[in-house]
Amino acid sequence: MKASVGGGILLLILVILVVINAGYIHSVTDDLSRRISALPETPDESTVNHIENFQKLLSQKYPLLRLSVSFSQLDRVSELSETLMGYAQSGAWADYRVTRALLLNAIEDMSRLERLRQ
Amino acid sequence: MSVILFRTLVIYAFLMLTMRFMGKRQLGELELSELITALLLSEVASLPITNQDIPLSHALLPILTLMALEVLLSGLILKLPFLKKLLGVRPAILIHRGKIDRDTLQSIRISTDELISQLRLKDVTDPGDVEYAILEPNGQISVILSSHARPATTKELGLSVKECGIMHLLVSDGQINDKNLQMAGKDRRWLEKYLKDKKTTLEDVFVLMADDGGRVQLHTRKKS
Repeated sequence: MKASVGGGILLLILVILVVINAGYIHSVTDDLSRRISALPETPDESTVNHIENFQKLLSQKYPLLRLSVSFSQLDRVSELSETLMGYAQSGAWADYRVTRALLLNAIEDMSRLERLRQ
Repeated sequence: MSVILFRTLVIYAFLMLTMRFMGKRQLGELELSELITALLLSEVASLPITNQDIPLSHALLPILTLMALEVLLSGLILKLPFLKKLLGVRPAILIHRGKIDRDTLQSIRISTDELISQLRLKDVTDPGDVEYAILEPNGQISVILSSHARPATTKELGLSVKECGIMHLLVSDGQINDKNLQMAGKDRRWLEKYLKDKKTTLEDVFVLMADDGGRVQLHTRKKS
């Protein structure tokens, strides 16, 4: 019986950890999405700074994120942010807009495993 | 990770139902929930080994979840009779007093041929000699012979036989097993004396065994 109680407690702990993790992932991805959504449709002087801040935030959150988000998803977000930076600096507006949309999509993908309703 | 936890729970429940309806035949040596857990564990554990893209937590979480479910379920089955019935862990009587129960065989989808084959594996050639043949929850068939067909016991023959228990391995390849020595009611002093009487040394002993009745068997490395 003790083992069963232990099993029940372990299950409860796992559920709690998963819920906490889901909350964390949602909070981080919401923050990242907000920063990218806040970028102007056409890049200006502040765009590059905003993207750099985004990349700093991503680096800070990376160690915890990689515990539950796949490396390919994290790499994709990282690569798209670099590409976005490149287009913002070069003034390729059309590519900038497309990459911005792709990056938002990629950020949303990071939290896909935390959403029961897909 | 929420999706992984949810999927683990759903797949576990789904496999339980599937295996339950497939019947006891697939179980072999394991209980139903043990089989499910074993199947899933092996698949899940190999994922992050073969695919480096998958974070380790995507395997650890399902493994821990399955372990928790298995332990929880096995405890609950002991306490809740309806759960035992639901998961189909009750034995089924296939033969009673020499008569094969056709309805039970049909319900668990075992043919008469298979039953006879299983009886043969238990050294039984005539179902009429069987008092009970029971399909156990782990999928094994246990056979209890009728009194006219089974070997007589010493009690029935009115014989008084000394209890000999089991053979304890006291020495193996020159290595003494003190725990077994103790279990056989002996000690190292007895061992020294015995080897001296047999004119052999510990290094020459291949196997030395003794049963609870005091019978001793010695096999040495030297050729006699």
